[in-house]
Amino acid sequence: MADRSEKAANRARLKAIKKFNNQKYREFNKMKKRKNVPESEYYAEMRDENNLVEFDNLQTYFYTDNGTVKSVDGVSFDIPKGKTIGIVGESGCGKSVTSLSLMRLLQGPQGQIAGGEIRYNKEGHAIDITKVPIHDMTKIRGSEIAMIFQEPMTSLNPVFTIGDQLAEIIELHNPKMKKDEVNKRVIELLRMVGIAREGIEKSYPHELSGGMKQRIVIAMALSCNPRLIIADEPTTALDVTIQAQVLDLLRNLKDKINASIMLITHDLGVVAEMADLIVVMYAGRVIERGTASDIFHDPRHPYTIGLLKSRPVLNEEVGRLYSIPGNVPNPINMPNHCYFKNRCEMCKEQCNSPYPALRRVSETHYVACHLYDDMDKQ
Amino acid sequence: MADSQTQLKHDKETIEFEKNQVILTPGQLIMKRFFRNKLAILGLVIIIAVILFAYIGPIFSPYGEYELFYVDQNTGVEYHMDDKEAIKSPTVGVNVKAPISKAHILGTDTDGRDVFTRLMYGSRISLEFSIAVTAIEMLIGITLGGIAGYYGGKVDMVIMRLVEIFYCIPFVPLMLIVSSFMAAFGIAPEHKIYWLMLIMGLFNWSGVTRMVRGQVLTIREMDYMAAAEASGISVRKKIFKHLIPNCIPIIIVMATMDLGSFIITESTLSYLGVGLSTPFASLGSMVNAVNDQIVMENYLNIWMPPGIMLLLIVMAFNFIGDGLRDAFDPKMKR
Amino acid sequence: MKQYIIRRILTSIIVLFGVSFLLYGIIRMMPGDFVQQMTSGNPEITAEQKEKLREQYGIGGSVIEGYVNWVKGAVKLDFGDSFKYKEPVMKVISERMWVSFSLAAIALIIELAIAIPLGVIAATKQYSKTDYTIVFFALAGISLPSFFFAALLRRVFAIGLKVLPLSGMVTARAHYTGIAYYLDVAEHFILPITVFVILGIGSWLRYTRTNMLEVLNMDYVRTARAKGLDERVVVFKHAFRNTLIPIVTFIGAQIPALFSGAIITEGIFSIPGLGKAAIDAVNEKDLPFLMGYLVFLAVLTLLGTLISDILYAVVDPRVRYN
Repeated sequence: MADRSEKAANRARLKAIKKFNNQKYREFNKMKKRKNVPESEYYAEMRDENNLVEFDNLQTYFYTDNGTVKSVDGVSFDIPKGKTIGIVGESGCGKSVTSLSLMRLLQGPQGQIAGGEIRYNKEGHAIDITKVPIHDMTKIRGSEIAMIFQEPMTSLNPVFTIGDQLAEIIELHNPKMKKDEVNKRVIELLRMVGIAREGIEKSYPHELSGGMKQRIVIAMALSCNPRLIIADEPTTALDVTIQAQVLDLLRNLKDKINASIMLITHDLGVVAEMADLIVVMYAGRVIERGTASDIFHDPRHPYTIGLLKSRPVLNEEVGRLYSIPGNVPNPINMPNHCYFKNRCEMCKEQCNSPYPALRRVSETHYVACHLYDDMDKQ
Repeated sequence: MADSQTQLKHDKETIEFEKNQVILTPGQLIMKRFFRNKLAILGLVIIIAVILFAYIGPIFSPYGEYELFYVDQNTGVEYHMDDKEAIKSPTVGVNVKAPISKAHILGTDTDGRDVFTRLMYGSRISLEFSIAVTAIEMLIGITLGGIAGYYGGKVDMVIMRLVEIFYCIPFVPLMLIVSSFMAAFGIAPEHKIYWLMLIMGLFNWSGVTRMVRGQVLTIREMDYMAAAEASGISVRKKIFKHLIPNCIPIIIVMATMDLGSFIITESTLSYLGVGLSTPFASLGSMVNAVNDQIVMENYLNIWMPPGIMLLLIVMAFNFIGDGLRDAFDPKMKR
Repeated sequence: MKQYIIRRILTSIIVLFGVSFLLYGIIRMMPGDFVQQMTSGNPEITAEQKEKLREQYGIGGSVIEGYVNWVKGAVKLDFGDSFKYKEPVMKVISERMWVSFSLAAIALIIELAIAIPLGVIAATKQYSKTDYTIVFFALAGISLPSFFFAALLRRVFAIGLKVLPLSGMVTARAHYTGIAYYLDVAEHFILPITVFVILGIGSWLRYTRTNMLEVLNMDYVRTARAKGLDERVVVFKHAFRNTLIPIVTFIGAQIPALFSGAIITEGIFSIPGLGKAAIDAVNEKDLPFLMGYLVFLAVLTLLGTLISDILYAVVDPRVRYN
């Protein structure tokens, strides 16, 4: 009997979710379809002119059948000009969704930016990416903000030659360029990423190895001298030696065109090597951020501490690598307290109180944990 | 004290939290995706309605499948064919092409039989026929496909050549010839239906074999299969726990779609006069009346209802098959 | 590539032997003198013809012997003379297949012109009302029995509205020439082509939609979007080019089938194509023609698979046969 009523309640709940989702889809669709949005509507003011991008309380939700998944829930951090920022966290913590929100490439109609601002310091006037009409967004994508994806094997279109695919993006953002100039630029780019073999631009993606394909993807991202390169786990699918080459390449090229890099990874080694700033995310929230040295030498959040402990270190005798107990919680209807509470070894009474806010522990270092609640008083 | 209370609260919250998490089994997911497809539900509703009409309907119908009706030209009084005395009268003739009336909801056909009643029997025979053919086809197809995919090598090659041969045989023309043979053989119509079922089943398995073989091959290449084999499971378990369950979706979808297409084939043959014939009321042969231009022009009640019935049944199977295909496909987002 | 094609042709020939043997076997399954039985209802057949048939089909000997006999003729493309047309079967087929082809080819072009864009639209708007409507009509079209739909069209347009001819390919006794002739044929083709198109459009549409949906979920489509390409370019260039691979191979597979003739539709509209010839042959028990026709259809099917495999290699840069 109880079982049946539970089932009925469950069904009613799913129905309510469906109704809610449909309403949301309609709302977002209406917003998407709006035409001739005045530019002033998405103008924004940067908090700091030295920042290229400022995430401000970004909320990206997925309206799924089982309820609303708050993949990114109030994320705030800045990407300064010319710096590399590493976003670290385990799978499903919302780091990729954050970058897709910045590109406005979320899988609709489920994935939507539900709130917050992403301010982009566009030349001329800063704008709020979340409100830009999709047509204007296409002018930013690829030319000002470029993205390198995780899977080099499948990221290139199998039916076009790599030369065509490179030329396409160059022509798109430089409509005045002549054909031979474009071709010259393609060759130049290929040389830049170190695969200037004769006639390689005429080959199809399946004729190249994974590492080469990733270089092509990088070349594509660099082709229009972007101001920000988002690299979403650029080396995960590659083997270790190629990884190092690709990272080197990325670092050198970044300096050459003076771009910022948003490096998304779960590999702390990669971050240590590349990043100036680090943001640690957990279950859709930023739990700690600071400079690379802040995070590596003075980690504050128990999760960050756990992450660092679980990393193999050279020249150190360890019996067994540390592993954080438990799993990432399912992000639907999460109770309002620290999401890491159930896995935390330093959990205390306060942890049942509402979710801790980001708290400043030093000039550059912020952490969201109740352990540091008393900091202000000190 | 405080500590244990915290612990209690903590646990309660966890339980509450877990309750909110709905984890669906693959089966539930498929059901959910299927029932979310409006066309699939429409198909299901139509099929249920047709089954009720074809099986429950005759119980309420006052007439039988082959009953003829006679009418007195002068008085307009209708007589049943069993009414031997009355139909002997010179003014009484077969009540052909009677208009729609209370007695005959869809009138009578060119032989003086009740169209509405025959519609019930026609739908019934169409459904049963195509289910039987699909069953035969599936039996052969799945067995051969499974063998070819599982054993590979020479067995596979031989079976696949056989598949190609049967795939090349033009089915409808062949059926036309076979049916006219049957007439030459003098096979009684009551038996012809079984012959037709058997032959149709025998000549249509190649598609199923090809699909099942492909599916088995894909599954065998999957990493989880390698893992299962590495853990040393028995052949029986391999077949019944991994191969068969993973082939079922594709088989169900194919079977549903084929149910519809066999109904079309059967009715086409019947329409051409070489399929099911009297005493069976086939929807195809009922539409056949349309070849008479007078019927086509003036007696829509004779040929339209069976045609629409055919369309509805086949459409319903296609809707369901399409819905199932989407529901089984894990790549589909919803 | 060349080797692959040669190998494929060789296997096709083996399969063709299998098919013809099976067909021959079925016809020989008749007990007694099947020539007598098959032709008993046809007064036009002379005793001489019957004798020739018996010889050609090797009635006296075993099935194998008879088959070898038949193959000897078939290799020389000699399938005997049709009873009805009193001409070699191959001649009848080659004369009539062009009518069937023109009918089917026009229908195919119209089908593709409608189905492919609609399929792409349905895929890009998956689960929307537009998508549901398109899929509904596609599935309904597939489900239509051709004879019923043809009757419906004839009732409405030829008998009811009287705007189109009821049947035939040309107006009888009109003897049009030049453009008037073609216009007359065109008028007669409208209804049969409508039947073809409505019945055939669904499978193309569904095929396009399914393939497009698959492609739209690919990583390279996301890459194309990230490049800053307009959604239209993403869909119609990047995604569609990939969808085109299966579509082109599918079209290739259909081309030989265009010659095969549609038994039902041609029969109903009395269009003198191969399909009509076949149904007449069944009614008149024209055995040589039927056997030749069945083999012809089998060859077309084999050609279709061969073409689609070769096209696959041509269109998809990833596929290279060795």
